[in-house]
Amino acid sequence: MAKTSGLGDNLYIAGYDLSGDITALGSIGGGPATLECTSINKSAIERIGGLRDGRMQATAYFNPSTGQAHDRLSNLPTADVILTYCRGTTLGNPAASLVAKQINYDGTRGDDGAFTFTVDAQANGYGIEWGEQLTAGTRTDTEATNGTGVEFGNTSEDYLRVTGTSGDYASTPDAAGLDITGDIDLRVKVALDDWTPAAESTLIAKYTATGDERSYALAVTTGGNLILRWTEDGSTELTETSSAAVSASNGGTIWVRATLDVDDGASDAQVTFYTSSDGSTWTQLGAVQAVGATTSIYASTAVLELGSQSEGTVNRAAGKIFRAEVLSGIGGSAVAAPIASTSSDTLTDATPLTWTVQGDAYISSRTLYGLQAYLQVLSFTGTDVTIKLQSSADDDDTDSYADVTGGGFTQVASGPTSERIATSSSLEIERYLRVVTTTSGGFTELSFVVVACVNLTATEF
Amino acid sequence: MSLSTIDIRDAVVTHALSIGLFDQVNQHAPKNPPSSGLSLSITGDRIGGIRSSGLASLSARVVLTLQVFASMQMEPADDIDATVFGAVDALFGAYCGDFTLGGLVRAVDLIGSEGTGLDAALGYVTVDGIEYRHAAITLPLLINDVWTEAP
Repeated sequence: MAKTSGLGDNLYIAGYDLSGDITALGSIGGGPATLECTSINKSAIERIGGLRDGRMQATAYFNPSTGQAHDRLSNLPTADVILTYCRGTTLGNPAASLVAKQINYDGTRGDDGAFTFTVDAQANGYGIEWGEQLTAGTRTDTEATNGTGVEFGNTSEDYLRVTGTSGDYASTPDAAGLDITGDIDLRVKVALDDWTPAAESTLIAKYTATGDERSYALAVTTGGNLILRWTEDGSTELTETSSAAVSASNGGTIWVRATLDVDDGASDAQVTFYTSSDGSTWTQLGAVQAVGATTSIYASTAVLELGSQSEGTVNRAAGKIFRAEVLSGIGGSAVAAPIASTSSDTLTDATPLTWTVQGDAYISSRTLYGLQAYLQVLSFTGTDVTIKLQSSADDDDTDSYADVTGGGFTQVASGPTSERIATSSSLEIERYLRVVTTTSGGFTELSFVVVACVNLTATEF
Repeated sequence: MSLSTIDIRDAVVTHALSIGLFDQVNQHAPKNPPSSGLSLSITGDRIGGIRSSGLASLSARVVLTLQVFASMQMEPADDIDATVFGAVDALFGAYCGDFTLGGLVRAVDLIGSEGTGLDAALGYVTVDGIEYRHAAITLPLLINDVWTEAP
């Protein structure tokens, strides 16, 4: 059921649920104004995005009951009002929110006896913001409660999370194409938790000590340098280490790459390391490392794995691995190209290879541009309650929910009320969000609505 | 507001009885020939949702049919139509004077904001071989937020 109706919707205005009094929403709109900038050598109008705007228009019945349409809307406050439109009341459903000025409350008494009012709201400061409902319409808590997680970010940046614990990795079985014996090119997009890890951290490896099945491995040393390991016979290790460390902050994402030229034509072999921000434009990392003699790579039976060697037991990495490539030949054809995918909850690989996520490693996703959130408190009985957002990479399975920095609303001591908050626009948001309520003095009833708008692109207000 | 059909029916019956014109007020269609004077039967006609519902609930339009029967044997015959009109007039007056039925409904849809308004059509019917002058009154009632919407 992809297409849905607009039945069962809710509209909250400044902490009041006016859903029953609203018969129609004439507009839930907004977006950037356009600025024309057509040059004389163009045959069509050119525009750039200007100021963001937003608006809502509702048609309300006349309902003079306390807390209902006339009681709330006829005040025509000059202060901001926050409107939240919920498309259905299922957890995770879309919702649009607006910080706005209510500019009218215009009644119409038709000749058929109907008595309705038009209410227009025009944005103030932020424009229309679409998000997802972190409460299923109105949520009522009678004590401090952890809400149900809602998945965000399926359209964002997916990754394999490896924890550094034994057995947590992803692998694909040995395949003929992976048995590269000549030039090789290894590339990994990765965000290590610590770029000067306590122990060497393997990013990608076909390298198993058991049975001396060692082929090749790319890792990060404790000093933050890249190291390429390989053997010619499965047992005798050869290594080259970059002369410079990777320049990335802990948790920062970067492409790393190592190439091995097994015969440079001068009776030597060379290892060159690179980094990149986009995976296409590479910057050499340190000096080219001469091996001292031509070499070759042992064709082992080991699995190809991400995040460790020896099937999750040796030199385990802790961080996020977004994608990787094994190329036969420097800049050659890919024989493995795993890409983390939350939609399939595994690593997809078009070469094709089948990957398996092992142990407590998991696939997740993130966004990098922060979020905005809206709160509508419809009623509150008690001393105080703090409503805040928490996030988890895997819905509390391995990664526990933790507070979102800047994701807490102002402590509530009475209702109705409403609030908009925004985190840093560069905050990393994990895949799952939930709303929790905490209290110091206790409460017996809280009815509220929370909508989170996670930014998929850089967003500034 | 909920769909309290019994309360609504009772309110309509109360109005009809309070007029004091009808020998009988039945809440069903006549099975036998009605009385020789004026009689009334109240039955349901249709029920449905209306566009003027809230965002999250469906409001209802319930239409009742009120049938006024006047025996064609009444004398003077020239006053039969006037008698029927008078009964319809009294009923319409009752509904206009209490268009929420005491708060049971949003409104009697007097002017037809959601379809046909308060209306009466006159004709002749034969019940069990006896002919009657007859008025069929359409009584549309609008009721708020009867059914909650959920997927």
